[in-house]
Amino acid sequence: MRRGHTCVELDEAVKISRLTAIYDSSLLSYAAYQSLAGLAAEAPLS
Amino acid sequence: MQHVNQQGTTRRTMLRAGAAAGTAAALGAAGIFAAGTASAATMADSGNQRLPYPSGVTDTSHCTPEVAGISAASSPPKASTTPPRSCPTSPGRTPLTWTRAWASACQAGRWRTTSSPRFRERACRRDRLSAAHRRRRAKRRNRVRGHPRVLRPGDTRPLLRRLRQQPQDHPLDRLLDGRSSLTQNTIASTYPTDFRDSEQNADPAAVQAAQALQAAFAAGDAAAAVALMSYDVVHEDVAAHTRVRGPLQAQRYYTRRSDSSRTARAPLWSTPRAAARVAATSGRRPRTPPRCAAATPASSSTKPSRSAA
Repeated sequence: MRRGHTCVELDEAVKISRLTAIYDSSLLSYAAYQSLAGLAAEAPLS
Repeated sequence: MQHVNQQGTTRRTMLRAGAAAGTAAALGAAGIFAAGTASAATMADSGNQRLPYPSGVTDTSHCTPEVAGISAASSPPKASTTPPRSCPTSPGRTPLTWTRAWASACQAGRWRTTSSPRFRERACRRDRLSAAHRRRRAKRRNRVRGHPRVLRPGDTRPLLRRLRQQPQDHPLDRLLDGRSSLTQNTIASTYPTDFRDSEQNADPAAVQAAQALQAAFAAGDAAAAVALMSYDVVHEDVAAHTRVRGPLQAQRYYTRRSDSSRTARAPLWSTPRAAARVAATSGRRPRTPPRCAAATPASSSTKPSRSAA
C-alpha cells in the first residue's frame, strides 16, 4: 500500500500551481515501514 | 476572685499563642485553622471550670505540633516542673514540662487513645505491697468517673463530635467541577465527542484536482498529470530531495519516475552504487542519476532505457 502526504495549491484557474510531497511511502519498502512504525508503537499493558 | 484571675491569665496566654500562630510565617493554613479550633474548644470547655494546669500553662492538647511548639516557647510554665511519671517523653530526654512533653509526643506521632495520663506506681524497696495490690491501686487512681468536662490530652471527643456532623459545602467547591464534592452541580462537559471525521471541509475544486492527479499518477500518465498544472508549477518532493519547475520538467520527471517504478523500481534519487546494485539484480544497465542527466542531453539518456524497458 502506498501512502503519502502531499499538499496541492491551486491558482485562480483551478490549476495546480504548487505540489509539495512531504512523505512518500514508495521510497522505502514495506518491511522498512513496518520497522519504523514499530519504533513508535507502545507495548501493550500487561 | 482568684479563680477569675487565673482564667483570665490563661485566656491571655492562649491569645498570645494565637497571635504568635497568626504571625508565624512557617505555618500553613491548616496549622492556623487548627490553632483557632483548639483555642475555641479549650475556651468553651474552660468557661465554667478551672483548668487542671497551673497558671500560665497553655492547653495545647488539641493543637498542631507547630502551635504547641510556639505556645510552649512563648509561655513557659511556671509551676509544672514535675511532670507525671508516665509522661510521654522520648527516652534519653529530660522531661521538662507536660506541655512540651506532649508537644514532642505529637511531633513523634505517638497519640494516646486514653483520656488521661496513666498512673503507674513503681515498686520501691520498702514497699510491702504485692504487685497485684499495686495494680489495683493504680487502676483505682486511673479511673475516670462519668464524663469529665475538662479535655485531657488524647481526648477524642471533639474529633468524634466533628465527625458526627453533616458534611458542609466548602466555598472552594464552587470553583471546582464537582468531582470531589458531595453536591452535584449542573456544569456540563463541553468536550466534543464527535470530531466529524467523515466530513470533508476542503474545497470541492481542490478535492477534484487531487483526485484527478492521483488517478493520473496511478495510471502512469504524465501528460494527464501535467495538464492539471499551471505554467509556473513548482513540484517539491521533500522526501526525495527533488524540486522541478514548469510543466516540461515536471512531465519529464513524472515520466522517468513512472518508468523506473514500472520496470526495475530503481529510484532516480539513488546513488550510482545503489543504482548499479539494482541493475545487477535486475540484469539491466545502471541508470544515470538525475543530476547527471540534467547535465547531459535528456533525450540521449532516457530514451534508450525506455526502449529497453
